[in-house]
Amino acid sequence: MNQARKKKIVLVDDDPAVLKIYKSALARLGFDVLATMSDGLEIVETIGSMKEKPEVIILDERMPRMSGIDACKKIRSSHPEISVVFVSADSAAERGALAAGASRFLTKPVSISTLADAIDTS
Amino acid sequence: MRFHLERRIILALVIGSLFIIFTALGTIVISTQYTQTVNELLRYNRIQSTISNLTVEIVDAETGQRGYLITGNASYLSPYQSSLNSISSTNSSLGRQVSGDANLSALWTELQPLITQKLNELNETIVLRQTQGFAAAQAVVNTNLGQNYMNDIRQVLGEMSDRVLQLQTEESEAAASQSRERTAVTYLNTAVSIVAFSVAIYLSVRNLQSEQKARREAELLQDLLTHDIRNYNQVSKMGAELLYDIHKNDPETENILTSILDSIDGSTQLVEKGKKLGRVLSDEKVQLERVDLLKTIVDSASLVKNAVKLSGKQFVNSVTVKDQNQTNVFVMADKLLDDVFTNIYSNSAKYTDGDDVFVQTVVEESDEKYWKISVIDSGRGIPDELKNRIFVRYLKTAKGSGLGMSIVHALVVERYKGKIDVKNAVPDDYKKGTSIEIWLRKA
Repeated sequence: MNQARKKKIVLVDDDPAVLKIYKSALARLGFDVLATMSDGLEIVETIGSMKEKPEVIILDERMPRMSGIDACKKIRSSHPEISVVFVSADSAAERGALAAGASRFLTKPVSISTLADAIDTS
Repeated sequence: MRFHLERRIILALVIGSLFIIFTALGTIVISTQYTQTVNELLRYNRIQSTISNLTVEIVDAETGQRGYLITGNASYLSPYQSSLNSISSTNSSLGRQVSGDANLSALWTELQPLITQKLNELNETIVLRQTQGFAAAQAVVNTNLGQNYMNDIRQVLGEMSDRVLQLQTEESEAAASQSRERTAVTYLNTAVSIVAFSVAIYLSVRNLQSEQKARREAELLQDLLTHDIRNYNQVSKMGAELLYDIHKNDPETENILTSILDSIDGSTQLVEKGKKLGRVLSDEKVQLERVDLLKTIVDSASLVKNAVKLSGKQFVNSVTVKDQNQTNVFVMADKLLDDVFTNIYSNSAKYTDGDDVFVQTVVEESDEKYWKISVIDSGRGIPDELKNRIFVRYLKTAKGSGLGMSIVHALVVERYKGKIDVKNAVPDDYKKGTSIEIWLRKA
């Protein structure tokens, strides 16, 4: 598992435990986790001012102030070079997420290898 | 609460229906009585007309007699003779018409001698005029007997007419009174019926609304539970995988973590199946369409083949269509038909010991209405006492979630209006495998 993967990642999920486990797993795989955020609005408001931009954003769908799909639309509009991978417990959101510009949609619970592969191929 | 509400709806409908029946019966009674009243009034009108006719005919006879007496001209005898015939007929008719009423009958009986006497008086004077001349006839007229008879006849006929008029009035008033009563009862019954049906409709709408609300709440709760359990499982799954990676050289820890990961996957499948089963059972807007059965079978088997490959098993499904000419096999179903076969095939894989899972799927024409599909495996089989229970939700003896075959049953029987049965692959030896037999409606 300890492979050198350099992609820069931002993790967005309203569940702190999920963020924590993502961060541990991805860091262990060598991904560069730039930041963790708990809401779609937070990433939309900060993405422009981030000095080091992520290559991939891992995004949840159901979040309190702004949904993942709405955040994805804004991010893809302002930063089309950034890929978005959805990891959601709501499988019904897949169509909307892909329509919003996400490159992949994974349904929780997802394995570490599946998530890593999705990031690598995005 | 819901049971009481349904009982109230039924009670309101019964009350409304009873009052509608009462109203209908009341209307029939009113119509019958109205017809009887009209017939009675028509009968009284006919009696009045007969009385009037008889009076006129007697007067006509007297007029003819007078004309002849004065002039001696025989032509005056013609209306006299004609009236005599009419009087006889009209008088008999009047007798029949009044026979049902004692007072009128008595008056008619009183009238008979008066008519006879009057007619005799007329005849006598005519004969005298013919045989003895004007003076002889005049002498009889001067006795005023004829006038007296005529006055008596007029009086009796007048009394009869008054009596008939009285009966007409009584009949009309009685009919009007009955009509008012019946109309009031009809209005009351109609009002009660309307109120009862309105109550039933109101309660039904309320019942429907509360059912819809309960369903929405249940779906929301189910959705939230599924979502949150998947989130928890995300943390557990990745945590277990990280531990597995950290302790990959420790076989005992690896075994424990493998069990934990299996449990996590099992719980994820459980909530997903529970959610699906709930939706299948509560879905009221089912729209069935023409579905390619053979393609569905092949696709479902392929899905299961890929899934079991991850656990190191090989899944082989052989599909046979008994009548080779039948290349187009379509059934009435929807996109959830996949779940029927993936659940059955998954069960075959789950309950087959060893790494090779062989399943035979035989499709045949059952009759004009159904296609029969038999899925035969060589797994552990199902004891007879459990065969009827495999479709029961939350069956304790079922491995895994126990919901897979419940979903199959809900889809085949309740959603697609088909049939399902479970048998041994080899008769009398359940340990040699199971045959799940499904009948789906042809499309």
